Amino acid sequence: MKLFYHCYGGAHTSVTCASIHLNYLPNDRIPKTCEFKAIPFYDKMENKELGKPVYMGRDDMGWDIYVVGMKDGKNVVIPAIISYLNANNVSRREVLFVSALVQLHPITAIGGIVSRRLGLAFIGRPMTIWGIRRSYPHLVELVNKVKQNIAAKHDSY
Amino acid sequence: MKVVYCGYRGTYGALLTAAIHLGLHEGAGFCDKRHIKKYFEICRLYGEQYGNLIYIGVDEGLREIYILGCKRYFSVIRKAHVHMNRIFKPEENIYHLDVGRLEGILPRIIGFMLARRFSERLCEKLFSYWLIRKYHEFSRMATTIKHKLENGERIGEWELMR
Repeated sequence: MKLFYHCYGGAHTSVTCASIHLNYLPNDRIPKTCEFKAIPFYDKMENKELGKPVYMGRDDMGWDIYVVGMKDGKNVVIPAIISYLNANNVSRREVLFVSALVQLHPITAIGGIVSRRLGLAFIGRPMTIWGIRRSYPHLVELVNKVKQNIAAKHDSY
Repeated sequence: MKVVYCGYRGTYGALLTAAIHLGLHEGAGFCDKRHIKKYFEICRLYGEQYGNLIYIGVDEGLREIYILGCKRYFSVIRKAHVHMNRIFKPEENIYHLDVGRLEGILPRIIGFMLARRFSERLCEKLFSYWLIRKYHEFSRMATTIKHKLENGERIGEWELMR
């Protein structure tokens, strides 16, 4: 079973969600700046790598967690992936896509553009962290819902 | 092996190249009215199916031929497919060929007009003009691609832009 957290660039919100899911980040408090910087792949995805799923780890229910950047094309990219998996006889139940773009703080978006597109990580990265810390409770809530859903899915098998 | 012909829409250039690749128009005068009408009808029906991998057939080398409408996300979809292949290990090669650059602007305009229910007759006339003008270019490209696939050669981006 594979779970894909996706966002625009696959560098910030999706990585944060995957880290919360895998307990790299706490879900009972807002992490410090240095904790974000210590996450693997945080603010690392290059523009030319968009579409490439990056493996983050395996959770306690045995799901492989990936992050992927899809620009603003999730309505095209996700059906394209699913139809491709169908053509390869991979069951739809084996994959789950979760959009991590919930309550995205505008400062995170601006920081992401400055860091990833303009290459000014020393300005953009602190901005993304500032924005994500503001919307962190929403991300925790999203991950909790996802965990509940996949636990229910497990029970139904 | 899977070969996916991609374009902004999965029809128009992608479908035409796939059809020529499969030899569906060999010997037929493709540019006659009946063929154009049929082809236009397919484009009208399936033009808006973005992200839906449509199976067209199998060629002589047992390669499965598909078409796919990617909008502006060709590179994202190509990477996603290639890496999904690695994750799920179907042990199969996949080739993505972007024919969108050869199509020109006309299919985009026709698709836009059809989606907004502009005059269908005008769209068909534009489509006919586009198809007659572009058929030989697509035919040449499909032949080159097929030849390269048979010889196991790499297909460069520049070849799709010619």
